[in-house]
Amino acid sequence: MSTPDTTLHLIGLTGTGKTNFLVAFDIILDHPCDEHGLVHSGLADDRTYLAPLREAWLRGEVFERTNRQIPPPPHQLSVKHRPSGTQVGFNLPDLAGETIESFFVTRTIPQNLWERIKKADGLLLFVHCDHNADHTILEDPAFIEPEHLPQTAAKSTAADTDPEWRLEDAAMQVKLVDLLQFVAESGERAQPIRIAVILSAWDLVEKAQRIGPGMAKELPKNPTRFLAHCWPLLHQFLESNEDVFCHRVFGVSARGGGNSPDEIERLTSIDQPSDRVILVDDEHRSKDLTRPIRWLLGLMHSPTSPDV
Amino acid sequence: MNERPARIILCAGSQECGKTTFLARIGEMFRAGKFDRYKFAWCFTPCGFERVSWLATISSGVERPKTKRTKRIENDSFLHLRVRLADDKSQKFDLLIGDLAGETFPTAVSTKDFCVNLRSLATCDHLVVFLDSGRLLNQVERHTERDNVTKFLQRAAEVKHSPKSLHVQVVFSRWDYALQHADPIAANKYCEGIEADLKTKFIGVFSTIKFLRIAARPNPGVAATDAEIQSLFGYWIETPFQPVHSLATGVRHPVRDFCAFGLA
Repeated sequence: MSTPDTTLHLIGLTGTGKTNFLVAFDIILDHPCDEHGLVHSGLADDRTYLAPLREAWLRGEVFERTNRQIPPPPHQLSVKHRPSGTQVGFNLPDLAGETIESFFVTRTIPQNLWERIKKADGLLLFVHCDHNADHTILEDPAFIEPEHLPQTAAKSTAADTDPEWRLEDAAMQVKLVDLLQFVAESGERAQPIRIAVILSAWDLVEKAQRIGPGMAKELPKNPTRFLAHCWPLLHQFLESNEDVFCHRVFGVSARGGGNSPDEIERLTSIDQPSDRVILVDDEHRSKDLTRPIRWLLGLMHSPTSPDV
Repeated sequence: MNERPARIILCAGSQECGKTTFLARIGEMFRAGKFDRYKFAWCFTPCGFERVSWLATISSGVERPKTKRTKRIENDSFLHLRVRLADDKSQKFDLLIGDLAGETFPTAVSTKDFCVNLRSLATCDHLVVFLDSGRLLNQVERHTERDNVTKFLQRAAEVKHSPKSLHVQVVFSRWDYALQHADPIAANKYCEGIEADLKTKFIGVFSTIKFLRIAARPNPGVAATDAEIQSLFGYWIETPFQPVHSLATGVRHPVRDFCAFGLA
């Protein structure tokens, strides 16, 4: 499998679960849970990147952040779509979140990556459910009681000590929209580029009921509605540019739970490791992490999973 | 951008009258998904919007919201937004919104040449002039505030090639100061008097003149006038629009921040 047929890019800011997804996906390929799903069609020649991560995932360990100073070795996957017999080899480069963020800050992107993105067959865009899409606005200034307000306008003085805005201070959803605008302008395409929006740590959304009824009421349990509610700029951008992007939103818990010792014990107590995985696609719920990949590859033909 | 017709909006008014806060609020409302009729589609100046909102965020570490002043060098620069109708994804509109640095407003009032050379004034489809309610309700400052806005509108009528195609909106900004005034009824009446005076002077001079009361970031106890901001934003889009100007030759600083990626 020296020449992969397909390249899918994992894009996301720091700590958005890209590596966890990649490893859990590899595990699901070995333990298919959907007859329409993808399976391994062979072992890749080089698994030096995935093998140790897989071991750590199985032990329930938390991954160290992907280091952008040391780019991961090339890793390819060879998969088979059983219903159609289609074999697909593809690249899933695991780009560090810091690298993606550095594009925004430096306003530059490596030429070779730009070429790869231009040719990409689809993108997996990672958004962490527990990250704040935007900065919180100070709604109530100074905590001053209205009766204490002066009758004339109190002028704020722009003190020299005011913190200067830096590029890295930009809100997460702004950074992602900016990145997608760049992708949109990377070249003419015959058809819209497919983007699977992966809402990672979806188990947190499902646990919101336990956090508190107020929180649960606010958080939609449908991934698309969650994106619209919590990441409105990103959602509206994708909806508004359907001529450029065709998107679908998935709620994913690739790790299956939290990082606390209790959670690690719970995760490792599950007999079938693949059972840790949660995938929610509108009304569909399973552990089939190949579903977003199948959608990106146009291989979601089945009576229960329309390829739309 | 030159391939797409864009509505050009210029905000002008005295220093710290709330122009930039108003622009910041528009950005914040889009980022929070608070616009009903319009949805976000594209922005060539995301950093510009981020920058103007920064000092109003908890992340900045400030104790009370502030707005960084627009600098003189930023005159004739714009923030960009592309939006679409909420119920029709095919209908998209580009807007370029600029604000005249408050520190240069007195110069604009007093010097015709300054206004003649102000490309954003020459090309704008909508001129939004801000009357600071805080100053209007201060006995010492109110006459100057009112006089400067009147004079600036006269200047605009003089230097615009076709003032009858210009839509003017007069915003009584920081309206929370009027609402929290010791005698809010009298405060409102005073503003209505200004409104009547400006109508008398400028109806027939400009295409339209419209009055709004806005508190973009109000003091505690006053609700934000987000609906009024939406209404004004919608007015910019819904007003008939004739794209006759080219920014390619007219604008010295077309955007406030770089928007395109370079390749390393």
